[in-house]
Parts: sequence; C-alpha cells; structure tokens
Amino acid sequence: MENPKYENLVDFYSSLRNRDIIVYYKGPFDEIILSEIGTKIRNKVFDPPKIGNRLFSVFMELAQNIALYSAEKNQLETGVKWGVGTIAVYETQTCYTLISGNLIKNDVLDQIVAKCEEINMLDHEGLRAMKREYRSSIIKADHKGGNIGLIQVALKSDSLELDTKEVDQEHSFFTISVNVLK
Amino acid sequence: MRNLFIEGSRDTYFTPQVELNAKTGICSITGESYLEEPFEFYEKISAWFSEFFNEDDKNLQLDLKLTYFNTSSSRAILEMLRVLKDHKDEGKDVTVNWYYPDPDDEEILMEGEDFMEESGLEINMIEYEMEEEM
Repeated sequence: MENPKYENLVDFYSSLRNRDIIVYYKGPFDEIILSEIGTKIRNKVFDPPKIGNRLFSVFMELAQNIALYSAEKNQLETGVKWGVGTIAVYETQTCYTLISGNLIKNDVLDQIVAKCEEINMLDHEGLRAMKREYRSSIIKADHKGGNIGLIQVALKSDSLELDTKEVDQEHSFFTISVNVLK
Repeated sequence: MRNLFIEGSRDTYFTPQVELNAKTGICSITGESYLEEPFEFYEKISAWFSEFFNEDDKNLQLDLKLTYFNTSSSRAILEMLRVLKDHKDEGKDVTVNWYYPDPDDEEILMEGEDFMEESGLEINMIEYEMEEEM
C-alpha cells in the first residue's frame, strides 16, 4: 500500500535520480546551515579550484538571499527568524547547477524579476559596472543584505534562469537556477 | 597605542585574520570574510586606523589577502577603504596592497580593481603563488 503522504517525495526523489546531487536542503536558512553546507562545498575538491570557489560563492549568495528575503520565516529556538526556502546543487557533465526557491510577496515580484532581467542583459563588464554602482550608491541602505548578491551570482555563473508560480493572492514561489560552467 | 589582533576562524561565520601593528604600521587582513556584523567588524578596524593617524605622522601599510568575502562584507570593506582614502587625502602616508592568486583566477584581481575604482584609493595589485590543494 502506498502512503499518499510520501508519494510526492518519492516522485521528487525519482526526478533527481539521474543527477549527481551535492546538496539538497529545504528548511530555515539559519547561520549554522549556511556555514555547514558552505563548508561542505568549500571542502570538496574541484579541478580547477576556481570552479569550487565560484560554486561556493554562488551558493552563499543564493542561501543568504533566502535567509534574509524569503517571505516564509521560521522562528528558531534562539528567537531569531530565518527565511525558509530550498536549494539543490548538482553536477552534470558540463557544469554545476544550483537551484534556489522560496516564497516572495507578489508586490515585490515584478521588481525582482525586472532586476534579474536587467542583469541578464549585461555582459561581464556591464555586470561589474552595475555591481560597483549598486555597492557605491546604496551602501548601508540595508545593513545586512548585500543587495548586490544577484549581480555577484551572475558574475560567477551563466544567466539567471527564473521561474515564478503564484501560490496565493499574496505570495509566489520564486525559483532561480544558474549553472557554474566547468 | 595597542596592536589589534583578531584570530581568523571558520566556525559558524568566517572571520579573517586581522593583524594591525601600531609600532610598525604594517597591517594585514587575511582569509575569508562572512560575518554576522560585517560593518561593525570593519568599522573597528577603521577606528584603529583613525587612532593610528591621530598620533605623529606615521606610515601605514595594509596588506589585503582575502580568498573569499560575501557581498555584505564587500560593502563593509569598501567603507574601510574609503576611510583610508580620507586619511590619504589629508596627507597621511597610506599604502594598500591587494593580493590575488595565480594562476588563472582573475576574479580576486577584478575585485581588487573594483575596490580601487570605487574607493578612489590607489591599490597595488600583487600576484601570489597559490598553495597546492591538500
């Protein structure tokens, strides 16, 4: 007898069957999870090492985006609220793929999608210029958030592939997928 | 004036090693920077620089050898470099060296170039040999 409770999980697991998974996580992105998974990626041996540096850097920015900006929060025992979301990192023959997903409010969705589309139109030098401009102009505007995280992700990977799915009147599930080429 | 030493660590957060020598003026920040409070961390260093230059005319050399920093840290590092630029504009002797690894990883070099452009501070780009992966 199949237990329907697990059916989706089995489907999901099967969909990842042929992927070489490095990390899959769903839950609150607290500081310990970030550094544990980050260190796990950092300690994996890559050839050349710069690919590992890129993957680590992209993971950290995507994970911090979830921690800070996810519309879904989980209050842990410390009393601090951390953003909830999901990240999968897997390896293919040509690249490492990172997929991050989390809930965001519909009223900021257009703004974030527009920013990602702007990022995708720029080449490497254009992205560097955008990063410098953002970093210089909005310094301290948001004390914790780098606000340039997505630009940094684009600098270290190919384009940002987006997917949005409205889940209710207020929220959408927002997915960013990127490839770090080998 | 006291030296400032912060031991580098990789625990829940990644703290770079900070060595600021009040006697010689030779200072370094080395390692990885992913911090709970990046602005507080680098403001403490900036405050030390300001105190250092409050005394007699002194030469300051800052060696930056960072192998990773997240974007929040990068904004705080930029603020620190702007503080040094202000001291230099006031006539203080400030040398900043940015170390980047060889071979074929230009990303750290580009980060240094971007810091130079944004801060307006002259920064020497110095290549170093990467240690073999263990």
